[in-house]
Amino acid sequence: MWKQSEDAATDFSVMSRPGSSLWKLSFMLLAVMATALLLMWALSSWALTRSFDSVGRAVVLDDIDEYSVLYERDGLDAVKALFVAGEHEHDQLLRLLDAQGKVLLNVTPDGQSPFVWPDLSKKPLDPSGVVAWHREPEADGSTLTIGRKRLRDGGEIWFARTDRQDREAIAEVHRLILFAIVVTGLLLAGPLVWFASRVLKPVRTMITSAHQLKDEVNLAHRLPTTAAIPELNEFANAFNASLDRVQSLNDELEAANDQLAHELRTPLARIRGNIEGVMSQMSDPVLVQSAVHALEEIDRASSLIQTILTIRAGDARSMRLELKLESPLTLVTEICELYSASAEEKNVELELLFTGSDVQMLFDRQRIQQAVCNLLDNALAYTPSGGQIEVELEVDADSVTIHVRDSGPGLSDTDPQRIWRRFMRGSAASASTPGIGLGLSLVAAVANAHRGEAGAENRSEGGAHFWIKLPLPQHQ
Amino acid sequence: MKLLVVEDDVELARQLEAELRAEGHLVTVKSDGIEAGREALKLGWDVIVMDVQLPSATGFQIIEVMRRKKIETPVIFLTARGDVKDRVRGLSLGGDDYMVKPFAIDELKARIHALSRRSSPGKAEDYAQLPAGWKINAFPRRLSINGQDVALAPREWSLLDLFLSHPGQIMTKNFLLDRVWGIQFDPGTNVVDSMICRLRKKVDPPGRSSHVETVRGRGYRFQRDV
Repeated sequence: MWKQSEDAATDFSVMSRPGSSLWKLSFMLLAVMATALLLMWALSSWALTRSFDSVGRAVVLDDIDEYSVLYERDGLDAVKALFVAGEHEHDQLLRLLDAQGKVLLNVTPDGQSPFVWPDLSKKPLDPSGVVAWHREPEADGSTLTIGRKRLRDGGEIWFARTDRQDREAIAEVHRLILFAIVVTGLLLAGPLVWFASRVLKPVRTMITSAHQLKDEVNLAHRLPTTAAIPELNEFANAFNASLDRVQSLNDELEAANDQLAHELRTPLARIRGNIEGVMSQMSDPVLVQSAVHALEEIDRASSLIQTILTIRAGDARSMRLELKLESPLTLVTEICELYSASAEEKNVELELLFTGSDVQMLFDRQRIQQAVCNLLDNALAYTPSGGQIEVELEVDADSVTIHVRDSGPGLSDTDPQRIWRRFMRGSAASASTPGIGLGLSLVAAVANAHRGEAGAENRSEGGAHFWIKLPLPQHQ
Repeated sequence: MKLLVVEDDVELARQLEAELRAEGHLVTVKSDGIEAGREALKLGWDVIVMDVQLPSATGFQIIEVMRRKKIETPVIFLTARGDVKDRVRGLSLGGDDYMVKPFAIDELKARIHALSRRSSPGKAEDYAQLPAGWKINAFPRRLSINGQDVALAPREWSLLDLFLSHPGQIMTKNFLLDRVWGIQFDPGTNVVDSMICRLRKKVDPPGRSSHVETVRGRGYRFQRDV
């Protein structure tokens, strides 16, 4: 349970990382929302302003006509009475001038300082009675729409209307739009959460599983299926089906390899037994010599079978390691002891160096031993009499490295890549140098099976330097 | 010794029977798994040599039944599968030793000998048969030859111990590598030869042939009297 919640936390931190698809989707949705808001804002402003404008003009036109007819028929008082009765004092203005330009009537909004009409003397009126328009911006941002018309007696009627109310109405519409957008925005969190938990999380789980598949030795792991997203489910099923196929092929291959090894070893055992049987009857030293050679070849063939199987398994990371907690220092010390007599015989100085502090780590003793022995076999084969071989165990915070340095001819330039390939022997090998060129492939395979690596280079002072580097888990 | 050999390959079974009879053992051969299992449950065998892949039952199944029934007869597995996991499985099920085909018959003989020795303990008696002039003190471990102390490294002691406890027996390189160094593969360098040479220099009487005789193509044999 705890493990699960921990996983979920990890998932979330991965999902909420900038650049993740959750982030991208959120940004895209935000951008869509912002664009929608701007568009609605602009379009509604434009459309409403236009329609309020034409309505405003119609009002002004109606009122001018109405007041001018009333003035000409019933006189000034009737106009004044109608204006007051209309209760538009706060947003409408009216002025009547006689033919000489004297103000007969000037109604300005209540509670305001006397309104100063703009000077429009430079825009003479059409005597035919057509309304002339003027727009006057006000201090509070509103606009005054002024209509002027010449009366029949030569006077003028001025009627003005502010769009303050229209603007308020537009602002109200904007507030409603904003409210709608905010509510929609909040509702968008729903799909986002759904996306994160039902789409992204299964995808993350699949990614984790796929990583495990890559690293794990067996192919038993499968992607989890998720019912929420049919497409993902289909993908997982298809992927798992192909894994089933890979696994069955792998199993078949393994079985075939085992079978092959079995089929080869049994006849080799029969041949070996027969040679041993006749060897005990032989007295001719030449015959005994041939028999001994035959036995050696059989042993070489059988160890070749094992080596090839081991390399194949190591390359495929399907080598079954017998992991035990052991000290790498003890391991290299024992191997150096084992080789000390051979080195002495060849007049080669074998030295063991150790840097860092000894650790206990998990490894397959038999395999690592074999890998190190292969490096030492190599070093001894190529180091001339009087030379030195240096084995160094280097332990640092996150890895353990076993170095084998010799004072032999070293590797030729092309060697460092070539030597790890199967059946390749370095250029320094002669016909009498033992080995069939699988030794280094096995070293690489063993290192690979331990998630480590093997490397080679020439030493600046001459000779070759090989190493096996094994990672130390952090908790050790 | 009374040996039960379980091997389904007719040719190999014939060879094993002949070689082990020649050693003076009483050998019974079985080739079928069920039949062999029935035989293995009987008491009185000194060592059982058993192939893993058998018709009708595997060697692993047989030993499981044996150990469950508290029959502790030593078992050496013979198998054509060289994988470490098979070795580990065989030993963890209660097997005492494990050999991969093809093997040297001398190695099988040495392992049979080693197993039979284990069931009748008493190293001191074996050491009673020391070469003339040799004296071995168990605690602290010390070897003296003709009154002269011989300094031996730990692995040289193990090597010498193997030779002294298998007098006259041919020991293959693989057997020595496994028993002394715990190595189950064949190193390319002749490390065993070199170690034997070193041991010879320490224990051999000057001017006479070696206590550790090289048997060409087979291995080494300890000789008390040279």
